[in-house]
Amino acid sequence: MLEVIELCKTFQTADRAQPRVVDNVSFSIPDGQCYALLGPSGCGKTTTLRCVAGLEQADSGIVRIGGAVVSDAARAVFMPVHERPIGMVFQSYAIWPHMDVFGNVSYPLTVSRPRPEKAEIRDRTMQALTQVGMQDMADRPATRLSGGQQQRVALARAVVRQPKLLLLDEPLSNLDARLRETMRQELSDMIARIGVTALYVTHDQAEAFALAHRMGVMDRGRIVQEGDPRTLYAAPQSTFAASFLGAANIVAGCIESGGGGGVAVVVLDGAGHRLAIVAAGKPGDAVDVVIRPEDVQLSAAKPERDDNVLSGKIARLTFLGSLVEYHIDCGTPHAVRVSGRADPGLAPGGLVWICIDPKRAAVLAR
Amino acid sequence: MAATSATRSLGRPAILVLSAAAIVAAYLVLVPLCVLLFSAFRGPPDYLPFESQARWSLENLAALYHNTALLGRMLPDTLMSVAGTVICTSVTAFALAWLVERTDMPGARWAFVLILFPLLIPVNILAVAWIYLMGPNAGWLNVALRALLGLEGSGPINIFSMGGLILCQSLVLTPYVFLLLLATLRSMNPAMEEASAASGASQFTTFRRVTLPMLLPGILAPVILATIIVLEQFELPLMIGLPARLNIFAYRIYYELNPADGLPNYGAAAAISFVFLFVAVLLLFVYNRAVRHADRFTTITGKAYRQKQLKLGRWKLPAILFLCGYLALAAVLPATVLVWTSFFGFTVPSLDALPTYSAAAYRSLFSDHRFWLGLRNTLIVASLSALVVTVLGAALGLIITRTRLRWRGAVDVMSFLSIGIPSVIVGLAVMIIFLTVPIGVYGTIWILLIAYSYRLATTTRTARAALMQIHTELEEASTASGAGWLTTQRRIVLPLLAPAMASAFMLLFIIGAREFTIPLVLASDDNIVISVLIWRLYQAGQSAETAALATLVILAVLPVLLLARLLPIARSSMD
Repeated sequence: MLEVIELCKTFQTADRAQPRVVDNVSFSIPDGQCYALLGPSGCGKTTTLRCVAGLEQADSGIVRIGGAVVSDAARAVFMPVHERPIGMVFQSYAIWPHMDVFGNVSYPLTVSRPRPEKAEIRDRTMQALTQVGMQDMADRPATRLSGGQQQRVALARAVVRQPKLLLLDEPLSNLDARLRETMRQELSDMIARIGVTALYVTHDQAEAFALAHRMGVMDRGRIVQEGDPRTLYAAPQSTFAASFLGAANIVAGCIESGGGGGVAVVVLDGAGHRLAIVAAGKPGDAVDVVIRPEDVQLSAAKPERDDNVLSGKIARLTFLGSLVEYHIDCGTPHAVRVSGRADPGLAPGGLVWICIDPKRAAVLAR
Repeated sequence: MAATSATRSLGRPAILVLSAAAIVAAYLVLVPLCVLLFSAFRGPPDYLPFESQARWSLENLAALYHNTALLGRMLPDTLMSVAGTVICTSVTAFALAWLVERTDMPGARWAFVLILFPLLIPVNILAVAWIYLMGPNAGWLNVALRALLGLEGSGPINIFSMGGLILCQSLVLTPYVFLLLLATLRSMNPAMEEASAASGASQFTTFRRVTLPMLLPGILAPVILATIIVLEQFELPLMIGLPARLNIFAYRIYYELNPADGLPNYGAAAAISFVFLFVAVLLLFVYNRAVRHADRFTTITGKAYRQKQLKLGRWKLPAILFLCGYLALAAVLPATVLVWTSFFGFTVPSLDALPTYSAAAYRSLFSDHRFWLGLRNTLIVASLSALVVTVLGAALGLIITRTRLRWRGAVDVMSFLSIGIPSVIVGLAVMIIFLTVPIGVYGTIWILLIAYSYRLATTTRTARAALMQIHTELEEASTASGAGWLTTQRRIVLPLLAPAMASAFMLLFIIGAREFTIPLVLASDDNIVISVLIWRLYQAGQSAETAALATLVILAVLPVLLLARLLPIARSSMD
């Protein structure tokens, strides 16, 4: 298991500013689980991972791997990278071009002390290669591997010495979009099969959702929200988390009545539409209402119910293949995005009604 | 957040290995420099600078500046020879590079190989060949020209003149500048020229308004480098400048150490060195600026483009004549005159001379113990110093690219400074050190090894460039696999660095094998090397033996030259 406690790291930059790249980050991963750190580039997720690996030295905070302290700035404990029980998959895969596949994967065993017997190295390497489905390519030169194969070799190399912790730094970002989708699934299966504790860093929410048991959303060096993927998606606690975890309409408004954990009437800015949604605040509070585009029903005919229904005009529509994204101008400061199927009855300029499911909308204090 | 791996603290083995390398490097480069500066301020002139009777004084510098006769000759002569050489070299090298790289010149690949020829041969061998070709009386070219034009007496070409010196120095220097310009030409994005053509500009307008201005910064750097190299030139000022009564600085230092009468004047030699070192270092910083400026221009991105080849059309014949003329003078004729002379003595070739064929020169050479000693010494010193410098360069490259040590900038500057130190000055400084420190190195080949190994710039730059190409994640993957620093260096970094360092080693080996100045300054009976033996034979008037030895050197160089054809830089000029 991994425990990270109040980790901080600053970098000296050229203009002498000292931004906290990692700002008081704490989380833990139980044995056999996969935890994803998700955030935009520059949010500090990779630095956090590198501090756990020992490739960076944290300014303060404690890192424990499998119960043993590997880094504790306050007590000047810093275990060098090569002594930590880790395996790591790098963004560029870092497959050594002067070795073949077997050489790459067996490397961690050949440098370990005491060095295992030759036969044991062979067996364990082949076992790791089998786990990633590369057992038939052991003799292949590293320079003759496709992106997906490099990915597998990198994973096999990272797990061959059965580390207590597997670290993955944006492992899919170098693949093209189509391959990324298949590899995402396979990677998830492989990690589950190996059963290793894993820390996964990514900027792609789909990867985090698919792979992680728990995830932390990072922004400007802090973990702003943590939880299992479904909860995070359904109940973001900030507009940042809401918009980073997927497309979201964020509509500003004000609680008119109710609230306090019960149903509230929220008046949306602009044309003054009213929504009845569960909200925590009290009347008078300024709030943001988060509405996912796929949680909105769009119809050309006026629906029968009239609570949580807004009328508007189709300002623009973008054909995306399986879905169409409609921008509905309904008097809010920004057009509301709705995703739905292509429908010949819905054309730009047409009058439409949108129904918002109050159970699927979240109200955030502003 | 990548590329910050260096923030992690280095372990003890890393610190130990890297500091040791830095200390050795500093010793090789900085100690000679300090000794030299020190010596310039020690007098009186007939004492060694560290002898107990010597004291601090400005005598040396004062004597130099009051010696208006010397300054009045040395400064203009040096200036004239440097300026003339740099101009001739730049024009010739640019024309050659342009013809080989950007036109449909036939036989460009073979031309490339021949152009490199002077780069591999010791300069004093070339000087001997050119003297045999253009000596005022019996020089082959003069004999031929006199017969052709019906002239009498000597001439019309006199190699022993400022013009002759400039010609020879330009021929020696052209291959360097040619190679650097080739790289510059290749790095130019052809889209820039295509955009000009698409805007309606003619080929000539495009060359004038786009190509030339974009290339200019990339041309400036090689030209400054050429200036530094020519300033350091010693062989030609000695062998051609001296008979022409020209006072060139590098020769002057040697003269102060080996005056026609009296004792060596170390102080005066140091004082002259002091002045020229200052100029060389100044030029070096201008060069550094020029290179950085060129980077900003982004014509030099390290990326090579496939260049569009211009059709020469009716310019083909003049271009071929120019190329053939250059190659004849720089490679073909010198090789021919040496081979001929080795068998027939120094005579003008004719059918009548054929029966006088004799291999006596080779027999006498092979029975001369100096030949075998010189061969052994040359191989030992050249390969060991190349090894030392390659290993140190790799370590300095690691310090510069892979650590955040506070003094890594100083290491970079120091290795770079070594380009600006003329070898005659290194020879002088090492001489003063080991005359003072009696550890039995003086007069052996080990003093040569120490003196040769100051040329750290090439290998450091090579290592630095190669390390920048090696993604740091490759090393991090090794440490994350459980390997320590030393294991990572041995199993990951060194194998990946090896190809680049092997070519740097080759280059340094060639430079070491060609070296003449340092072994001449530090010469003894025991540490003779091939280039010094050439000089001794030439001075003794043994022209057949001189030519025989030169021929052997050319034979040794031929395979290297043919290998050069396989270098990437040669290949892409024809693909």
